[in-house]
Amino acid sequence: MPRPTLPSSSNAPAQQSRRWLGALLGAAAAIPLCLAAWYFFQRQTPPAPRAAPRSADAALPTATPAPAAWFEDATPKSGVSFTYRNGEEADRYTLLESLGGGVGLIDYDRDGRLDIVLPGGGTFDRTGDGIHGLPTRLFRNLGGWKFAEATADVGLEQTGLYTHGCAVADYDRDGWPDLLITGYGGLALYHNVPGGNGNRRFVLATQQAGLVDPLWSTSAAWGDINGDGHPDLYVCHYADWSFANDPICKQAASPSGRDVCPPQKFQPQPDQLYLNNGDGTFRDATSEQNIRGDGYGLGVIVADLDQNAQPDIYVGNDATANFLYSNQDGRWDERGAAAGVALDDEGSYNGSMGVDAGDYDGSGRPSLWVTNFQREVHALYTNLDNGFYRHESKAAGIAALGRQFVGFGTGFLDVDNDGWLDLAIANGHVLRHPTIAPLRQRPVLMHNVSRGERRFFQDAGSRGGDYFQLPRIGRGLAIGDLDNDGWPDLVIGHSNAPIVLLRNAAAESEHHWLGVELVGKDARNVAGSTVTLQVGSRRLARFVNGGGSYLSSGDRRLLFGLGKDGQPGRLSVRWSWGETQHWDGLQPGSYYRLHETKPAAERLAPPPVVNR
Amino acid sequence: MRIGDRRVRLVLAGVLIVVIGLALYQIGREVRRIALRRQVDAALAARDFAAAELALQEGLQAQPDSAELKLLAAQTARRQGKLAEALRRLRRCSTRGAMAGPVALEQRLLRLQAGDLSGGESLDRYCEEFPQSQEAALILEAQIEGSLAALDEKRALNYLAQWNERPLPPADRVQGLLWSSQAHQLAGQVAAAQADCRAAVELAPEHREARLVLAELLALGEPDEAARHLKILKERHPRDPEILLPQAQVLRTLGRLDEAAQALDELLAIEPDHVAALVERGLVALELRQNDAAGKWLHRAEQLAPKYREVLLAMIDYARATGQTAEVERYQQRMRTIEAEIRAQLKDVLKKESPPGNAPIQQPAP
Repeated sequence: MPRPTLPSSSNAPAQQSRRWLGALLGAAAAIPLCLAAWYFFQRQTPPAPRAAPRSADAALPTATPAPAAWFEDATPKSGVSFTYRNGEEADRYTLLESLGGGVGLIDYDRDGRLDIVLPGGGTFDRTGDGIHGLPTRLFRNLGGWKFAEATADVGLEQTGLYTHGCAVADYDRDGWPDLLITGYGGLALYHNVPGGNGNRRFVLATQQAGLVDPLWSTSAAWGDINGDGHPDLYVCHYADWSFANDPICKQAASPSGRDVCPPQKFQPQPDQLYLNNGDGTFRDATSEQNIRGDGYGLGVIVADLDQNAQPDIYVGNDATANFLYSNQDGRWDERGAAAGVALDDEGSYNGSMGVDAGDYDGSGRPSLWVTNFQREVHALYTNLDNGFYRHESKAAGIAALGRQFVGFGTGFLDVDNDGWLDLAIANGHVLRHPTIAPLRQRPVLMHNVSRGERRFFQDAGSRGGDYFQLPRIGRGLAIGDLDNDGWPDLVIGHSNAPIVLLRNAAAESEHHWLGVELVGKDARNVAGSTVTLQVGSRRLARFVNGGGSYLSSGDRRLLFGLGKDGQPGRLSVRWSWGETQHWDGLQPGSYYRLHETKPAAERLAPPPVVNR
Repeated sequence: MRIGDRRVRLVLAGVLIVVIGLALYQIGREVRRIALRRQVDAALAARDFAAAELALQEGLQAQPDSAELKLLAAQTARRQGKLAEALRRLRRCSTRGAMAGPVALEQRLLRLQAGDLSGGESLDRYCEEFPQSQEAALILEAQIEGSLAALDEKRALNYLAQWNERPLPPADRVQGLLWSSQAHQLAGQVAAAQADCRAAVELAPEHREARLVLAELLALGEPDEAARHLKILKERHPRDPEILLPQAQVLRTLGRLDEAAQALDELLAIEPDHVAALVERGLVALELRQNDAAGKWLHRAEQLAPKYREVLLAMIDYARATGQTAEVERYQQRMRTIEAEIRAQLKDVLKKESPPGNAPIQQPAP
């Protein structure tokens, strides 16, 4: 190619000019030269850039020293030693291994202390189609932050199901909490029965109960959704993955060149709604109740969201719109999109995992909270009290966290008992070799603070203690008062890393509290009930929910943080079946059992520590 | 005629004055031309295309027939990304004589920069033969821009490697980092894109675009830091809508609603019909529970852009906040209609663009 001459590089005209100029200059006087030189330099644009002012960057604020921690890691001395195994060591890169496991809190022996139940996960054969379940383990709470493994004692040592989640409810209304375990290719319903010598044990009752479910179940929630008094069951299903349907998804950053596939590579499996027949059996009401089949269900909560004394269902779906089943006298109307809780504020569906409902803004109404995938914002849908919600993650400070988190287990909790609900989130990636966000991610604690007349969540990781400083592959999260001191503790599960028990150490503060446990007549399920407590000029609302978080089941008792000077006034319970009862004269610093049939609240003494 | 004659002396003095006057005039013209040219060159070296444009306009006023300046004006427009203007200016350039080659090259670079990557091999060979020439720099620049326009980030990064081998003035190094950031964004490598922009800001803290792109990249993941960069930009460019809008958006992301509202009010005072700002202002008002005010902003946005997706989303939000169930359904229906239209249009485009070779392969008969 001949070298073209471009104007920007041409020196020829300048050289010609100089020769012509030289001739003229020779003939003319020096004055014009001086004038020209003056003119020339006057018109010159200074090409040198200005020196870089560093002051603006240098003035950026620096971190302030961390105050005393709210949580301390109580795991090492607790006796709880457990790691959820997802089978990734087989390097099969299955979708199955991405979900992880949940955490269940259940007072299975009714000794007044929450025990911990942990689905075990499973393993894969390196070749072939073998999927092997690991046992669900149960750690009995002895008090004083001591636990003893009771897996074999309670009959949970069986293996088989590759497990994920758990849900707790007294499905046969015998007064003892039963246990549902979810997993790949089935459910396991464990009936809580006498075990001799005053002990309790679980017997598998899945078949008898009619809960034969061959699909891949994830989170489940109990609640009396048809108002007959018996707890019904909503089961989320994920995708139609199997070793027969296991495409290879390439990932350049992976040593093997592949990674876990996104759920969109598979068809979603429809969720199921099982109605309780009241005789220990269930019937599948999925089709008669218009339950949608186009979501990759991962999180579910049963709560009276529209405050019509009929429990509703909210489902967090991965990579599809979320569902809101509004309960109108036992008929279901899926109105997530209309209500504003199906999509985010950009009109896009999210990869939703964990869910919860709580009154974060003091409105007395349950707002919805959803943890989401990377490049998305965790969603706070504020309940507007007109059947609609507004995505307010930005206004409430949630979006300030950024979009690098893959959020899973979560829940509202009043960490410091100031009367305002805070948030805890377990985070961690689903891919083994992610490129956009890290594999291990720090757990997040968000403190609910005042900003003018609004409520605002501030990242309070620095106050959370050491646990909140390190990145992890978090999954299940359960909130509960493990030591009955009135301060919510946390149990958080991780994929292929030990479970962590976090003791709430904020109890040293001067804030007061009040705890309540609702008991319906004949052990009627109370999910969907609303409890309000007058504290000075404030009216605190707390909700008994079914399900919630991610693959997990937390403490169903309710805690009211009263702040420094708060004294409990009238407490009102609107039961999930619409009746309202009031209690007065409750004292702070205690748990009360509020029985539907008893006008007086039963003050509960802290259970003694078991010596073992 | 004697030299001592007074009249002759006067005539000669007059002639000399005229000659000197003419010489001064010519010198002034030429010096001005050189000065303008140096201004243009300095501005282009600093990639200050706006300043280059001004100097070129002045130059073309003085020399409206200058083929060289016309071509340079076309080239400058292209390098700014004003491709339509570049084409318009290029059409005015003479393609005869010595300018034929440069104009032909400029036409080719214009096509290349617009994303037409065909036939770039001869340009590559030229760059190999004359790697340090000014033309090679211009060709590489157009190759990089064209690759980015064609969403071919690997090609862009390949040419960027050649670009970085050249001895580059600071402005070109900064531009190289910005291109690299674009390429990394195309590849979905947000961290690398941010690193490029950070390096650019480090190199040229005053560079508006570098800091603005960095702030935009940080807005999702690290909104706190984005807000700090936008604050710096706002201090330097207080009335720049391209800074005020992202600043307001980031402040809203951080929940700093009052500050977001203030930035939007400033922007709307400059551009009252800025639809995106009206939408954002309406949303901030909704979050501040100022529904009436929100309605005012959002209805104005709706008047201006009734089919704009963000406007409809905000109107749905507004209808929900004000409990207008029928309106929610109406706007959702409109949204569905518009999304269906967009999908249909996209399908048509894909259908038209699909080459015959993409037709399904027929199974051979047994």
